[in-house]
Amino acid sequence: MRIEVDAVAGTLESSDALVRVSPAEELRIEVTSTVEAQFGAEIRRTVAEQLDRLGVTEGLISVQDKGALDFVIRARVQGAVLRGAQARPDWRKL
Amino acid sequence: MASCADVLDRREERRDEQVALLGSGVVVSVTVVSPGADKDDAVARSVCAAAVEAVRGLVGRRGWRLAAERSASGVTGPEWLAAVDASGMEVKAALVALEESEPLGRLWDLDVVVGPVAGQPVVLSRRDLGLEPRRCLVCDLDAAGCARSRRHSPLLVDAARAGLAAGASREAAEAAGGLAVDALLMEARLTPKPGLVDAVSSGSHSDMDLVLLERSAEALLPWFVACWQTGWAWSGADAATLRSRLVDIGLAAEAEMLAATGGVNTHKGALFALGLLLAAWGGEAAGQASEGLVERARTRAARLASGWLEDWRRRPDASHGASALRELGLTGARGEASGGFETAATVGLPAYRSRLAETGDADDAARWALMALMAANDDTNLVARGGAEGLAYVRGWARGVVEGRPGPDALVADLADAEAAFVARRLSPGGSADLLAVTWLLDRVDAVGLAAGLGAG
Repeated sequence: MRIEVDAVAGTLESSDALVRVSPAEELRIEVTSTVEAQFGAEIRRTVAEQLDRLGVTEGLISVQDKGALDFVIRARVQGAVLRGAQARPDWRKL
Repeated sequence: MASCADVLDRREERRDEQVALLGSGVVVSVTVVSPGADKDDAVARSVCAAAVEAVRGLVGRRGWRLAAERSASGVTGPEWLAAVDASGMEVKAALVALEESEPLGRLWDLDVVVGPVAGQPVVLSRRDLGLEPRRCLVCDLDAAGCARSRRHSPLLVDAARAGLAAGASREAAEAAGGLAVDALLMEARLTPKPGLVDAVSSGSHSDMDLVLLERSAEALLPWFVACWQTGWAWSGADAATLRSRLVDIGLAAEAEMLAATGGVNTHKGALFALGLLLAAWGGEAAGQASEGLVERARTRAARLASGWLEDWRRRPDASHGASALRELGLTGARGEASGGFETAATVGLPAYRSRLAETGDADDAARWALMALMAANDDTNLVARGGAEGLAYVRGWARGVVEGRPGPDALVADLADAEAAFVARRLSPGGSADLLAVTWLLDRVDAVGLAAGLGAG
């Protein structure tokens, strides 16, 4: 999937994550988290795996995590990517 | 019940509503902490209403102007939004102070939203104010870390939330649960105890030692806390409702005990007795009882436990107690509990107190109470290992010691001398050991009740 436009999914509430995606020529992933010390590596892996699953190979992906569980991070990454690819996300299917 | 998709969708909608309100000032967003799937229960609604009242009070005191108030509720839980004409940091600091000082504050999520910056609202955090992150509902760690790693069983989180919502302070719950652990540690460390695990011997147990018992007791701490909180939160509910919650907690606690001990049943009976007593104590503490706290807690425990005894008489399980019931008509730990711990309260407690007054030595008083309990108690642990004969042997021996009224040193010698005969018969008076822990806890409950009574006066 290709990111065509800037897009956002999620919020900055606790236990959520705000994911922004923008078009770019290379894949770049930036993650900040309130639980960085404990879970930073795990969150990066979750984000990378989800991007891989969605076939995203280029784009700027920025994740501001507020202690979200993995399934929330996956859903927010998918939501932002689908919106950036100008597809309509259906949360119920994620 | 709210699905994950409902919750995620609602958060984005709420964000959009917050952005729309930002034109009128900084946005205050009130939601409640409800980790379970049922986010719109009666607890959530009353907790949210209290939060809104507290925020309105704060706004009034500070002379801020409130604009565009709106509340919403649905499967994702009650919420309230408003705009305030003050600086974001000032509002956030005041709301954090509310979260920290109000009794229900730990269950409130009072967010302050400013901005937007680059099209996104900015949610101010405690970190922005240089404050520590929020503490977990169950332990002392950072709440976000515990939530993320699902460190605690949902049963513990539920009990903590229900307790807080009903007005039970976490400090009081932890103090009560800590006393139950102290009771187990006191009993385990008391030496010598014939047939039982103590500091110098494993008695008649090949699979346990003191280190294992200590580990087991520590593992039970959060579960004892949850029993007290649950007893408090459901103090007005019918016995069957509370009982089913306590059964869930008890089974999970037992699983954790087995995980901590590598599968050895160290404290099953003690967990039942002490957990029940804590729930009954919490129930009375909720009613602000201080005078006669022990008697009230005993009556409440009896009411709770009698349902179990009836069920069990109708459908006995495969426990040691069940064969003692079948063969000898003994009701064991369930009978003791449904009698409001009568043996502990009328035999163990007077023995402990009179001896403590006499010798001033708490260990000696505990040894003496254990002797009195062994002389009186129809301990089904003894029946399981040694039949009716084993029980008669121990009771006869204990009566002889009690009648001889030995001093502290002679009592230690009597207990030490009995070890070989107990071990030879594989006897372990575990039921009486559990009642010693109950006796000690009853004594503490009384002390807490008296202190509360003095404080109130």
